[in-house]
Amino acid sequence: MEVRGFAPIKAAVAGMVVWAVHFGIVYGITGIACERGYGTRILLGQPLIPALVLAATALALLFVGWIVVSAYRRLDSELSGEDGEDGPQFTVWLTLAIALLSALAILWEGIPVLLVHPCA
Amino acid sequence: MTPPADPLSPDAPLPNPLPRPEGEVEKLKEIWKTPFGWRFPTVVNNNWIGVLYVGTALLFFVLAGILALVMRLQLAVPGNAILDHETYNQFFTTHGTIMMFLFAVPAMEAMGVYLLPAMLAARDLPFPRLSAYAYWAYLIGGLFFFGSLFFGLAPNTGWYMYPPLTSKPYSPGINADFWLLGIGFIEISAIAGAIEIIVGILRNRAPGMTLARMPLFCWAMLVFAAMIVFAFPAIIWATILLELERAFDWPFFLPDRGGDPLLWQHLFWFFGHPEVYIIFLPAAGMVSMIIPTMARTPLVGYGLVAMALVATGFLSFGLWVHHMYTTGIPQLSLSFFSSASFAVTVPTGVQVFAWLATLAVGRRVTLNVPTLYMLGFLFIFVLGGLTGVMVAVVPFDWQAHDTYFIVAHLHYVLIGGMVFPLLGALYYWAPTAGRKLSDRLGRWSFWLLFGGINLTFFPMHLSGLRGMPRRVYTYPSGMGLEWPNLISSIGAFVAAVGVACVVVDLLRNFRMETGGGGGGNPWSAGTLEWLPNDTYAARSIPRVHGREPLWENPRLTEEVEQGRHFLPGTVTGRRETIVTSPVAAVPQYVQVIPGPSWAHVVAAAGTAGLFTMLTIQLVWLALAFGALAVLATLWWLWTGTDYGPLRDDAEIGGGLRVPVYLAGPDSTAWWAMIVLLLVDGTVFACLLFTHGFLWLVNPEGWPPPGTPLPHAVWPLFSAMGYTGSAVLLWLADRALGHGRAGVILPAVLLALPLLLLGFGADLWGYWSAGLRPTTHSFASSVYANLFWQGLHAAIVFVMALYLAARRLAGMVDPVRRVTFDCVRLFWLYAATQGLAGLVLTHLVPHALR
Ligand code: HEM
Ligand SMILES: [Cu+2]
Repeated sequence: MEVRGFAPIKAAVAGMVVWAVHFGIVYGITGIACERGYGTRILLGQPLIPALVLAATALALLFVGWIVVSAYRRLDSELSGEDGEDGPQFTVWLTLAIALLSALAILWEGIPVLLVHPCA
Repeated sequence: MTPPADPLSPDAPLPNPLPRPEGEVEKLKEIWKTPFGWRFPTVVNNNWIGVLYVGTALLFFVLAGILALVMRLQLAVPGNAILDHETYNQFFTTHGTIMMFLFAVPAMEAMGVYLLPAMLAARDLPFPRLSAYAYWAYLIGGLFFFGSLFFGLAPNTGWYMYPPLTSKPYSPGINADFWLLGIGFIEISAIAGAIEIIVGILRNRAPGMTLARMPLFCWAMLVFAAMIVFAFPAIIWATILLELERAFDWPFFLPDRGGDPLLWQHLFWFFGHPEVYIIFLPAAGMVSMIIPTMARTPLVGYGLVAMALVATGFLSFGLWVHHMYTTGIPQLSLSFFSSASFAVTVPTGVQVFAWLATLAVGRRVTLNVPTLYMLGFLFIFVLGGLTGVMVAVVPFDWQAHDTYFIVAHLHYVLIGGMVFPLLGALYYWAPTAGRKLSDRLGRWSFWLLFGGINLTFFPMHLSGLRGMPRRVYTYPSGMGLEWPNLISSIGAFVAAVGVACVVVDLLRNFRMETGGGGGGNPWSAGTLEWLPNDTYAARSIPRVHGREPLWENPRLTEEVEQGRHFLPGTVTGRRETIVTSPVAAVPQYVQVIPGPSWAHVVAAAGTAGLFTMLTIQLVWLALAFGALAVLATLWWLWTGTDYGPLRDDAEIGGGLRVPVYLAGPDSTAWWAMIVLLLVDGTVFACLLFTHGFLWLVNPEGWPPPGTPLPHAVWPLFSAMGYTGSAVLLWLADRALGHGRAGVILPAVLLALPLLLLGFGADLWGYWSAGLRPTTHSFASSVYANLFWQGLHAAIVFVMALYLAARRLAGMVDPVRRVTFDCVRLFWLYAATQGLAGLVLTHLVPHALR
């Protein structure tokens, strides 16, 4: 078991950090674009705001996926530890649970762009 | 030295053998003695500071409650004339402000200061004088704030202080300044406490108490403190801006000169919404401790609840704009916040289910006072949550916005979510100090409060739907508002009698029996705060193997009392506490911590004096207090930190030898500095947001055409100054690493003028070009950056001289270097922030043009 490390704590909150960054970005994009009247702009044949928001959402989900996969790997390699739920497994488990909830929240933020007119 | 077999494993023999040496306990008692008589204010023991802190928070609860009663008296019948319009405004503002800032947050922080060391089985948290400082600053500042009411000077614009109502033209008196400076100052105290709590929880757990075995209250307090670190800077920054506008006419919020009042709302609610969860999370943590004890079974879904706490901490930051539904923000942006509102209900729901499931699988639950409060909490909170979901639906909010429906919702959530758990917690944990509170009075208090609260606030839904606006000092008859209001007022008095029962009970039965070993473990709980304790906390520091150590090992209490676990005595002859690793809780070193002192008390009084004198505009006196605060802080640091290696290392039991001094990234001081820099960085992020937001709302140009701008040599000079001083510090660090302590003095004496030069060049550039902060929000934002950077330069100035003095006194060398490291970290941050500020105010506007 790693004695010093703070790394497991950072990994545990990584999913939520991605959510926060994603949130900031989509809110920023919408705020700026609407305020400056870009609400109806077209980018590469797509409406600007929804395209950017969806791209950011996809990217964020990719990040979370990566967090999940790498945590899942650690889960495998450390399964030999006899500590069970009490030991390092716990932080890995926490990483996974938080990442999944983050993915849900990110998805939730991204979907309205398909339903709502951006700058109304 | 061969490492011994893992002394933390459950199979290893107990860390320390019997019999214990003669006089071991007596020595501990002597070292941890509580100062008595006129020296009492110097006390730093967490249990005393914690109890004073909780008591003071309750005092403010009662004071704000009295204001509420007067308001309810006024509103009992239409056209009443107990309070006039202006006084009513002051009353509801002061009531809301005190409840939120002087009661709810401090009460939770206080419970943390009191309970955490015992729960983690630490002798004390790593910075006892810091929590004592936080307490005294809060007490003095809070009383002063409340006092403003008696002079008709209390703020009167609602607890969220929206400009332009709070700008100088509409609030010419100093009422608003009482809020801005008074509350801004309380935030500093809250942040001081949060630093102590974060570092304490991560680094002072009992050996073997891995993250997975940490009591859920500790998880909750960890998230709570982390949220303070990221939320409070926003309100501090907002208050700085508004105060700069009011005092010097810098137009951040005045539209005629490029400002925007919405900036305040963004910054305020970026703090204000998390604030609700900041209050709620520790309460949830308490519930997660009390319910398992009462159901006599471990909490169902421990991991899920820990996850829920962390997730709530994050998601609640995504909600700030939901208070601004009616202010013309784009539809899509609003939907982001609605999404976050719903997302945050997931973790809340997880916790509610965990509590209910625990009650369901538990053995027969006894309906004692803490349990009653838990059930009351669940009932009221769920009801408040339901109306919350209604409010989160955007169109409904347009309807209910600013009516009594909101008042009802807010009180259901706050009282259900925070007051009930807190009162339950008082009844539950009182025996850890001395003895149990009265069961009879407790029951009376519960039923009176439960009935009274529902009687008060349920009818408010009705008056709200019938159109009664909030914040009105009276209402007309004939709109169907008489009955609901009369019932509300009666209910408020019923609830007040309930609160009185609690107060009487506390006065009659609460005792601090330090030395008496506490009141035993009357609820047969499983966690470490129920170990017998004294001024020095537990006799020895237990080795932990699970989440409910007292349930898993029924003999633990006895073993700990016999001194058979870790550190049963003292190894340096001073107050000390074991520092463990953040995840696995493996002992890393024994930290010497300071004892009683006047230094931090004077520092707190000086800080409070600085802010209060500023409020009543006695600038010279304020500066004198400020100087006093700085001197006292230096005295505190000089005598109470960085003791150096008092001996090489020490055995704390089980063959475990650890150092008694540690510098570098594993030291608690380093951690505290990093947390402080996170606070600082968040303020700077708010500064970036300020620039970005004002740029956005000024389409005619940022800077507006015709703004005088400095020649490029000034920012270049400035950048060179900052970079040079950072490089020098980096070199000094390397040299010290190679054992050359002689470089410190020259390096500091050279780097300091460079940093000051960096700041001065930038300031002079703008000033000499003719830019004045009062002309436009661009200019005021530029000067706001300079103000903030100047503050850092001043702090570095003091730190550098302090470091030089320590060095001259022979207290800094290649081993004893915690002071150097802390100064270096802050300094590097200040230089980096200076460079970032240059980019923000020179390069970015240039690029945007
Ligand atoms: C029995 C207890 C309480 C009663 C009778 C009560 C009563 C009131 C009343 C009459 C108002 C003014 C409503 C208006 O005119 O718009 C108010 C506002 C408020 N109360 Fe309470 N209250 C109680 C407890 C609390 C608690 C425990 C908290 C927080 C922890 C709290 C926080 C607030 C806030 C934030 C406001 C809004 C102030 C503003 O509009 O600026 N109250 N309360
Ligand atoms: Cu909110």
